[in-house]
Amino acid sequence: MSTHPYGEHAAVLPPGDPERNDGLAVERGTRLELYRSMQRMRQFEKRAYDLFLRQLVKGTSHLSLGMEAVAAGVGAALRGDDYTFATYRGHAHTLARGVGMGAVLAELLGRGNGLMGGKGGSMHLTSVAHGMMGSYAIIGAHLTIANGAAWSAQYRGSEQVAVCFFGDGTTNIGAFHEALNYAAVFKLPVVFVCENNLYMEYTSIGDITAVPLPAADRAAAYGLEPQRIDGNDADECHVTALRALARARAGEGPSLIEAVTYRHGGHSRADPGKYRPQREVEAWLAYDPITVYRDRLARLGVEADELDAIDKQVAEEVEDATEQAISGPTPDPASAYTELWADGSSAWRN
Amino acid sequence: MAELTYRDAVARGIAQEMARDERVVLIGEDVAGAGGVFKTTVGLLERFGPRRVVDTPISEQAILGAVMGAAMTGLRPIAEIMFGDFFAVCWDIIANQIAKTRYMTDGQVSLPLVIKTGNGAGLRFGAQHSQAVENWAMAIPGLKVVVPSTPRDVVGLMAAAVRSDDPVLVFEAKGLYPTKGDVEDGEIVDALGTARIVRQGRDATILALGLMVPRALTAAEHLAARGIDAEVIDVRSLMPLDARTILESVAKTGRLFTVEENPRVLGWGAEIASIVAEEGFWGLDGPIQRITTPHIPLPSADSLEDLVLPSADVVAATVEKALQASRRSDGGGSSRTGEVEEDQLAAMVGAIAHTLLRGVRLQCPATDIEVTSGEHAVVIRDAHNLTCEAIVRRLAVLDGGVGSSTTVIGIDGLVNALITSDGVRLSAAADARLDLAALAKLVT
Repeated sequence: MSTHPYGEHAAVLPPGDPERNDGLAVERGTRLELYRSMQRMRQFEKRAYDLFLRQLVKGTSHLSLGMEAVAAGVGAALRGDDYTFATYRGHAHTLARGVGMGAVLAELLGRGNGLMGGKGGSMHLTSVAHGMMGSYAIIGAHLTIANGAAWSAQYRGSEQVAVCFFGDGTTNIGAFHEALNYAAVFKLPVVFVCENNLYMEYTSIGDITAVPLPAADRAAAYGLEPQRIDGNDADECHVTALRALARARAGEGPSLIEAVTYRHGGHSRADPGKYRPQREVEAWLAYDPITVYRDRLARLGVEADELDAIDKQVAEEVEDATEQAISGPTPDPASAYTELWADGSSAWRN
Repeated sequence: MAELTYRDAVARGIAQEMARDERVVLIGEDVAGAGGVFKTTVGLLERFGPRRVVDTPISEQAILGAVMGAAMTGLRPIAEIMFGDFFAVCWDIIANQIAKTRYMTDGQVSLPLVIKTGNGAGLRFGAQHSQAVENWAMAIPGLKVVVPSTPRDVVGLMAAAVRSDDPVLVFEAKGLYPTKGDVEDGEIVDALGTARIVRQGRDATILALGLMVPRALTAAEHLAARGIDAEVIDVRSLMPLDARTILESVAKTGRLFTVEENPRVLGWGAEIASIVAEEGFWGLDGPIQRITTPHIPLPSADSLEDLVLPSADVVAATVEKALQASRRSDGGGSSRTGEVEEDQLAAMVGAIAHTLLRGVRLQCPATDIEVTSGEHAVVIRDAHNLTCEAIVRRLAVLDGGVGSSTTVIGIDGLVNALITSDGVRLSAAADARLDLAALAKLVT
């Protein structure tokens, strides 16, 4: 597409050379867990897309297809009581906290057995019981909210950490800068993870950002170490997250991680993503995080059968979730009028 | 019992809650070391330490995001946003995040937090530091909104806000910070959603909020000297709203006036007027009147700020004028002759409609018209000084059309109105019917 106002931007290609990370210190069991986690995200979102085509998923949703390594790698590094804050593109991060697929899918379908009873939808997935503190759909806001959870943890001395995922586009909104300064000033136990998929919505982040690396190049302004990692390599995401989490738990303050990755599809349901150079799309499709990881596991001696078995288990989980979601009831009409207030009601006058 | 200023009462209320609950913390710009730019948090840092009383950067989004995230994970934080006008720079956090998250998550997330702010006029700070914005907050589902008007209520409502499991916005009336009042010793905890009748009266209900409450009370004293016994209600809580207290008062007095510092359009009184129009209409003896700041940003000059804010004199004059018109309608006024003004005619038509709808007898002495509602007839006599064209213009929306000299309009299946160049006559007719919607338009 050359209709771009700046002309066609240069393709940004994946780093390649996945073998460079084969030696990272990640245990076999963890690696299998990471593989399963990515498979769950991938198969779940493919099913969600199918159900959208069948007009069972309403509204919009934003898929992480191609970006699974970040949510999986970081998610597996979390302690059970850590906090996750995600964006409207939050299916993967929710699943990474161990939230049941059926409840998530039912929420996408607007069913009464959805994660929030059909009141939140795809963009607001939340499961406090799993530490999934919410998916926030106004760019930037949740970085400040994650700070609050981190502050609370610091105040209570709980050694919990808040992890906040956001897209590259977020780095140009005011709340990002307020939040980074605030976290740094108060040395909050928070880890900011920028999923730089190279496009904010339909526009290349490089075309509308003053610095080449939208998050990492801003880190110095807040006294933080610039960290740019391969967001399609689950091991690299995992070990980077472990380091940042340990730092935060030790009272050494926040981290800002820029994980470079790529969406396989468009921004949202409405977007075929045609604004991206073909060469770039093809290169990233070939650098698929699950393929990269499967190949690594093979090099490290994991039998294909073992991985195939995981794939099959996940496929069954998706089937069960689909059945659970499709057979779920429509929400109780009365539920539209509940839980505005802590007393469970929405009454505003006597 | 101690006499406290409104500003000192803020610190007292916060201290009361911080002392009893370790989860209560306070953050904001200049709230700690400086004790607040309005000195509403003096002494809190010294008493509770820098861990619980925290100066922040000038980052309103970061401040409110911090209290939201803290509230959802076990604290009961208080944030100060220095001026209510500054809500505009952090409105996403208030309106989209704090207000909606409990509902969106179907109750998984509770947000026991307080946002306190210096609100409204009185300090001649100009348009960006003086607007009363409580109506912004009232319009967002999911926020509770209180506006104390006395030092005692500052303490009690602050405590109620801190103890609420819902987000509460406490609007401190900047213009009241130096005012003093008695505050009893010991713990004070008020209830959200409760209005207070601060002056009993029989003739009119005056609702006021924050800075407007003392003005409404002064106005009521002026009115008392002129024989009008006004009831004054301090609304105190816009959300939840104590509609029952308001409706009961209006049922008693028959008249409702709101005194609002916020700009006119969609000010808090508009919602209350709507409620009373829907549910208290039959108890009203005259139109609801809203006395507000005009729909303008606030000017800075002291003379202009004073001019545009509702004053006690304006409140008293407005109420007095309205009640005098109503008294004339009740038959107590004096007659006079002369040319009928458009607005008098409108009032007359309204009175006719009122009579028809309520089936009572009344007079319109201002227009030398007597309206009698009998079993099946309404007669307007001595209407020779009305211009026919004026009546025609007013009544043209009714069924049947109106000729230039003579016409019949249908009213209620019982009554016809016969209008001639010599006057107006309404008389019974079996086949006529009332166009209530059209009549309602006339009344307004």
